[in-house]
Amino acid sequence: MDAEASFEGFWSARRDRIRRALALTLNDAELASEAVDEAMTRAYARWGRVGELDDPSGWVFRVGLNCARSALRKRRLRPIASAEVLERSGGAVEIAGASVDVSMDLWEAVVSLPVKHREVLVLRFYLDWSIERIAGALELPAGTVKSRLHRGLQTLHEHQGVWT
Amino acid sequence: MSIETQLRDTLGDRAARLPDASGDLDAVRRRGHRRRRWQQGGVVAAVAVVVAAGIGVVAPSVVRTPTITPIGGDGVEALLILCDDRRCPAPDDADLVALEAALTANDNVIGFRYDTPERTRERFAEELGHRPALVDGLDTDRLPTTIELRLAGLDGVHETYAELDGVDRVVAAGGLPPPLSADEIHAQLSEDYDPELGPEDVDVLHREIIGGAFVVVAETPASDTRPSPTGIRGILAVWVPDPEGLWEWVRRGMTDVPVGEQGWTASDTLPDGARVVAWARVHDPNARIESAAPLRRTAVHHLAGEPSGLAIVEGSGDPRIVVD
Repeated sequence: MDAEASFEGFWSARRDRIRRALALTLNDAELASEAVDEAMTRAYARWGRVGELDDPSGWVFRVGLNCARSALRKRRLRPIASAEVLERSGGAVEIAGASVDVSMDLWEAVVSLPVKHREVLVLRFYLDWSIERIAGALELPAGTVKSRLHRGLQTLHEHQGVWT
Repeated sequence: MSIETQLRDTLGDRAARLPDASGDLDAVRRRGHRRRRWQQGGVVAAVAVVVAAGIGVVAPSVVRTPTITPIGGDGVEALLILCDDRRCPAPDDADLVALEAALTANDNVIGFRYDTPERTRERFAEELGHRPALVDGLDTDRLPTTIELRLAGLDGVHETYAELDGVDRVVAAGGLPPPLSADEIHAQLSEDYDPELGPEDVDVLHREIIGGAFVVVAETPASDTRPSPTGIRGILAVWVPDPEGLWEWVRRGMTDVPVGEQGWTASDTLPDGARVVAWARVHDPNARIESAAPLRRTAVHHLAGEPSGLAIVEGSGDPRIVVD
């Protein structure tokens, strides 16, 4: 398979999942779309190398997240999970019914987490990546990934009384 | 239902509600092709900078710092020109070659070190069309020609830069990425050192870029998993730059020693091979460092309000704090 076809296959198979994972991590769908396309552009520009990586999806997710961080810094360095972003992203979703309310409460607890905790939770529980794959994608020691997962879940546990 | 299951459901539900956005593959390809051309241009420009720097070396009358090395890497967006007043009295053609190289390889901001002379900044400002920011607050004795700067945090060291208009990111040239923010230090130390501790439990006593590493001296309360007779543990943590020159520091080493009657000490090896020794709460005024290798530097910083310090030893000597 030539490089063009290889990249196109990767784009078709992976872009949307990565975009959604970034949107969950950033709590900003618009920013996630911009970030994943920028990351995909960078991947395409060096597909000979990126395409040979063990986990190109992990590379694109990480670069996309970094691009988003840079974009946020350019917006005068406002926090990723600011109330403004939360309102913008959350406000676009119709909410109806008690079960959804429960979900939203948990979601609000998720977005209150630091991004570094949120990103590992999203990769683990949305994309179903293994600890090792997350560690490789984020270039973190596996122990740090475990620690962040543990701490993120622990924080959600502590908030659990609010919605149960 | 477990929290994991609820979280899985919530994330899946939330993701499914996101609007569809298929993206534009052709646009990505067009931009990607353009990036490839820029990258190739950057390589040519880098050669030009090396040549220009070489001219500076062989011509004693033009002794100056090689201005910029364009660096690739994902997310690289800006360069910082360091132009020391004593060694770079005024911009010349080589500077402009370097500037052109920077602008070719990177399409963003350039900043100047704080002691860059005004006339130099004026000259560059004419070329750039705007006035680059000044940067201060680093260990200028050990700076490479360019340094990377990450504005991830708004506290501590980063706060200085966050207030500077125009500096977005500054790129490492085989040198030093930015320090971690205080929040990141607290969080990483507490997580990786002892998960029982929270960020608020970490007391960062000193942080410094030394020998290509970011060195942090800290103390934490003792815990069940890391007990200490006096209830305090000392930490010497060493971070090194992400090998890809991106945003992350990778913590390479962290040593800790229980606090005893004579305080605590810890040592580690820096990327350049030197040894760094930290100590704190060593009350004996006769305490000293012994090492088979020469001391590059030693300084008492009064960490935690107690006699304490940080010493750098050339080579792999076995430095230790001695209390007679």
